Amino acid sequence: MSGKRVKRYSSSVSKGTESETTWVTSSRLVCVPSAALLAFRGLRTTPCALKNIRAGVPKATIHRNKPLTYEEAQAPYKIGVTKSWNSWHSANLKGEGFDARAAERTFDDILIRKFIKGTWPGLFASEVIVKRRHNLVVVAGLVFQQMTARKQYFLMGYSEEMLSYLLKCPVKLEIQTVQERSDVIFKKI
Amino acid sequence: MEGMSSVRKLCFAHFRLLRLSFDQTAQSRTFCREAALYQRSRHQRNITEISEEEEFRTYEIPGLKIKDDTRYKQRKRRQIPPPRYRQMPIDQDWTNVWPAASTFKWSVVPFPVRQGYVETATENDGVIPPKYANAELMKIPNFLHLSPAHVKKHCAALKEFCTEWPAGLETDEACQKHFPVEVQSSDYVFSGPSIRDPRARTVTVKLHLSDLELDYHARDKFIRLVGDCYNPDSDEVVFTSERCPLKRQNDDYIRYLLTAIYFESWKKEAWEDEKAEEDMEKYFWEISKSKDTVIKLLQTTKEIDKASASAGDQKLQYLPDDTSEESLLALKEVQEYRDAISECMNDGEDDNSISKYGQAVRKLLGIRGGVNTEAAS
Repeated sequence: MSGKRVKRYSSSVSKGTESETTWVTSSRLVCVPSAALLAFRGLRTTPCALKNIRAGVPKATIHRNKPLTYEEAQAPYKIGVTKSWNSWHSANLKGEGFDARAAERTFDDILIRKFIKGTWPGLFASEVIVKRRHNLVVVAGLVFQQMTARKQYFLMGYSEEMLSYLLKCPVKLEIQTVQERSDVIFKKI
Repeated sequence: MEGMSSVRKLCFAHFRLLRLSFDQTAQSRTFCREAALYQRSRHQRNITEISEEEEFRTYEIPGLKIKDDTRYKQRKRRQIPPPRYRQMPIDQDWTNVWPAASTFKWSVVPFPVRQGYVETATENDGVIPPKYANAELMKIPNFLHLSPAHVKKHCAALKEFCTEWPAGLETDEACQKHFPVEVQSSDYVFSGPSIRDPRARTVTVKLHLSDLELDYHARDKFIRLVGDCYNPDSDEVVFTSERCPLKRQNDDYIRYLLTAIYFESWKKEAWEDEKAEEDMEKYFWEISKSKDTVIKLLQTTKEIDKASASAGDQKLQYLPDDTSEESLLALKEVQEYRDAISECMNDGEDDNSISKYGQAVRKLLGIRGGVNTEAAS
């Protein structure tokens, strides 16, 4: 047996956290065999820790100096409790999501968000809020005052025009400006 | 070679003057960084040749000297005007400020409002976030465009399109009487680029069966034809159709259906006469065995009464001399008996119908005790 030790991540369990890294010899464990096979061989394995259950919850820093907006500070399971949805349309209501309506709206929202993020690079202080009334799409959000008002108005008109052509319905941008990034910081972790 | 020598001379030229000359010709600062490769214009060369005689120019190593960036520091922040709500008069018309549905604007809404959830003092200093820069307030729908003043304006604008309610249709009963057929369909409003909704094609037509001109046979046949569409409790027929792709098509289909069923129910086929007692939908005394028994009983009683001489011995005094079936069926006692037993069989037995049946039987058979009891009670 060679004494060479290789750090490997166990591939069959959830990957990521440090506690689940296993030190094994390179000759033995290339990939993790199935549990039944391991039991047959008389090997014992420990169950995975399942510590990675915190989707969307940001990790705290040592000095507690990582700024978070209100949106980021609330965990996803708080949606509808302490924070509300970023997409508002009737296909999310009960009994209204048939004919793949909810899926179409979601796909359009992804398109809108990607477009806005690319057209206003680094300028949005909040998430892109997409609200729909009838066939009107309203894109709302907070924007920094880095650009001149003239440029902002150009970008608004450009975004509205391009999104209208893409989505084939009127699109309205209702953005508001904030002076500093600290204005939207809710807490530091 | 000529160009190279002039560049070397340039390196030792007076720096300050050179800088001045660059500023005059509106050159970018990239020149200073890459001076060794710069090809001068004729005008600049003339100026440089003059300055060469006075002082040597220092060679500037790119990146060594810290550049003077006061130009950027001095850039002023733009003056942001105060929010609109600080300049509003108190007695303004809110409908002019917020004419239509819009995202919440902190700079326009004059009242203080906060939204958010603060768990500890570390979050936003323990204070609920105010309206400024609050994305949560921008997400939720608001009704600032539906204030009472707005609604009043909407009503005033819509008033010219309204007509008076027709006279004579004040109550629901009057509407039901003059418009017995009720057609229901729905239009659906939802957020999306299309206005089509598959649920909008459904059409429902309601009418009361009593509003149709039907005899007993036609009514019975109508009910049998429509099946579950008829509700016996409310006497209502409800047709619903969503089989066609369009609302108009479904509407036409139901109208056709109603017409066809109506005229079909008035038809009487030859085989419908073969309907026997066990095929009947309810109890008919006229075709039942009870009728035959009663007629036979009365006729027998009359024969016995005729045979006995004295009038006092007669068992049933109300029986006429003519004991044909028609004259017996026309008797009041027989009709009462028929109604009582039909009620018992068709509507179910209860105290009322049973006692009624008992009295009818006593009357029919001339049992005096029953009649006396009835008179006493």
